[in-house]
Parts: sequence; C-alpha cells; structure tokens
Amino acid sequence: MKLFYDHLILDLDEVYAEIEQLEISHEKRRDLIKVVDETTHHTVIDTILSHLNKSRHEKFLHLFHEAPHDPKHLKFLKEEIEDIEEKIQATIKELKQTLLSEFTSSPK
Amino acid sequence: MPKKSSKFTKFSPRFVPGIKSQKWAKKATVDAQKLQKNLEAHRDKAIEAFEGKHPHADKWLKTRNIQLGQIRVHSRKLLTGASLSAALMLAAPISPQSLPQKPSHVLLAEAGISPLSQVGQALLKKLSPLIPKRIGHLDPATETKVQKLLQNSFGITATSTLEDQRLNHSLGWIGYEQHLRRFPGDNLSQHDEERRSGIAPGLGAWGYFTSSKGQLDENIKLYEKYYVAVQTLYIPTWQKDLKFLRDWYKHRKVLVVDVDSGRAVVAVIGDAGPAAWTGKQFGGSPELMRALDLTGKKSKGKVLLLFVDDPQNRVPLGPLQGKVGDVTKLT
Repeated sequence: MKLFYDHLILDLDEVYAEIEQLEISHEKRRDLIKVVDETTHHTVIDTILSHLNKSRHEKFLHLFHEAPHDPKHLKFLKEEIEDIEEKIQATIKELKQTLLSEFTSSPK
Repeated sequence: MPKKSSKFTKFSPRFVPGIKSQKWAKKATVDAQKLQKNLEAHRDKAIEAFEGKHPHADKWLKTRNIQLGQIRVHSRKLLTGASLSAALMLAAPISPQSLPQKPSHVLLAEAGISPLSQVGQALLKKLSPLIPKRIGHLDPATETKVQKLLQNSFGITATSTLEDQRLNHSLGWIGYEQHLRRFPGDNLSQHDEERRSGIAPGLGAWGYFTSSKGQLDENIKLYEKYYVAVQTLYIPTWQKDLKFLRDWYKHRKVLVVDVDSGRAVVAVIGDAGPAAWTGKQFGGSPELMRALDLTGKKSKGKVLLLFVDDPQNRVPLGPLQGKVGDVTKLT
C-alpha cells in the first residue's frame, strides 16, 4: 500500500534485495521486511517532524493519519521545509548503510 | 541444551540493475538470529528516538490508536474502506443473469475440467527447465532460448530489453490488482467482468485511459482489461528522464507468461508498482489474472514479463492459445 513518501525511500531496495537473497522461510523473510519497514516509518516521520515547525506538527499528523498515501502531503511539507525531499532521502541513505552493514557483520 | 542457531545462505545468481551492492557474488552465510536481533535493535532505536524527540506526536498518534510502524496497514484499511464504500454506492444491482456469459471452454478451464491448450502444454514442457528458481532476469543464453520458444508458440517477438529499455525484473511474482478508472466518472458497475475485485480509489500512474466516456472504444476497454503494473519507479534514470520514459512505458505492450502453467496473455503497462517491500514485482488486472488462473486463494504467480516487439501493432491484447494470426482468444 502506497505512502506519500514511498518514492523517497527507494534506496532501501538494496536492503530488501539482501533480504530476498537469504535462504529463509517466507514467514521469516516477511518478519525481516516488517522490521525494516517499521524502522523506516519512524525514521522518516522523525526527520519530517524534526524539520517542521512545532506549531505545524498537529496539522501534518492530522493530514497524514487521514490519508497516508496522499501526495498532497509532500506539497504541504515542501512549502514548510526547504529541501524536505533531499532531507528524507539523505536520512534514508544513512539508514540503508546502517542496515546493510548488518548483512556483512552478522556472519555465522 | 544450547539453543540452535539457524543458518541462512546467500547466493549470487542475479543482477539487479540500479542496485550497487551486488555483494552476493560470493556464497556467504549469515547468522539468522543475530541478523534479526540486530535489525530489531535498529527498529527499537528508531522508535525510542521518535518517542524521545516528539513525545507530543507520539501521544497524538497513540490516542488515535495509530501505530507508526503499522502505518501501511492503517493506509490499506482506509483505502479498502473507501473502495468498498465507492463500490457499494456506485454499483448497480446485478442479477446473475445480467452478467455476460463466458464461453464454455473458459468455464471448463476455470473448473479445472478442461486441460490447457496443446500449445500451453507444449510450451510448459520446454519452458519449465529453463526457468531459474530466483527472480530477476534470465541469463542471455537462456533468454534467447525462451524467446525462440515464445516465437514458435505464439508467433510473438518478446524481449526483456527493447529500444534500450529494461525493467528491474523480467521474471518475478505478479499479484492481483483492482480495476482502474478508464475515464472521469467511470465506476465499477460500468466494468463488465471481474467486478468482485473492486475498483482502485486512485487513478493508475498514467491517469485515465481516455478523457471521456464518449471516447471509450473497444481498444481502450482492452487496455484496462489487460493491464499490468510494473516497477517503473525503480528504473535508475526514471526521475532524470521522466518525460521520455513516462511516454515510452505508457501502454507499452507486454507478454505475460505464467511459468508454472504455460498460460499467456498480451497486456499493456497501465500502472506503476508494486513497491519492493510487497515481495511482488508486477501487478495484473483482474481479467489478466483470471486468464492466468491466478484468482481466489492463488492470487499470486511467478511470471515472465517481456516487452512485445510489435511496431505495426498487429499483436492483439488478451489471452493466447496459439499463434497470433490464427490466435484463439479465451474470452
């Protein structure tokens, strides 16, 4: 199901590709994907709220919870925060590096 | 007794365009439990950071029973609710007699009584040994063999790369999609088949198929009946070459072959998606999935999806049972 920021988190495809390569059961793969997805949402919304004026937090949360997929939210955020797309993408890039490192630092 | 640690193995067989870390060229092992534990630790850290920095937002969400980690589930509920409401409000009462009668061979095939066409059986026998377990792309030698096979079976030239364009997968999992709105004002009751799938609340990635109901002809109807969603969003140059790529991929003809059944359908690209996290690489319209017999419990299947090289626009859309030219349509 789409979220308004899905196109900004495409970098994480590399993490999903790593999970996809694991020889594990469907259930375990789904669990790992879920964990990465949960991490992503907290990271993205944290980034947005950290840059958004606090007086606008409630408005954003209200819009987001009413229609998490609606691309108009990005328009709203662009008006409020300079380069918000780049900021989200930069955070996701960092998250990607952190998560990818786990696939090489968890050897048997 | 010490707890047994499960061991995951990573293999190397596929290349994913646009993905820089092709690290799995070397077989390696990963400690499953350790990996899961570490990823969960990152998640917990992200949750703690969010709650610590934005306690007001955390409280706001919790009082509304919204879990940020489950936001996709929340979104799905909202969109499904909207879709069902729209369907209930807009759909005209339907009596079973008013639905178009399907040809008997389709009904028999659906009931599992009629076997696959001879072409399908012959194709499957030769195709199965060529299809790798892992999704991605076929290696060039195998793709050449598959192309010849498809050419012989259907008289269609199909390829994973056409005019330098290539998707991130030509072999992947396809999932069941909903109907798309063909023109402003279109609703579920105006679609003549597979109404139980519902209609997507939003538009497809290329918008309406036509600008008004008056311009809806048989061709446009076939576009929506047999459309696929592909992951154009993962094409590395998508944003950079947006205008060119958007036009190139819009309604581009593709051949979809279920590698487990030999069933094949010619379709057009009508939407973008699904997202990588879904574990699916393609989406199929309700009629397309019906033609592949991927409905009900089995609403997902492994397919080859290749561009059709058809500059003269001679290849018709829909299910295939034989060669184009003396093609027998299933529906």
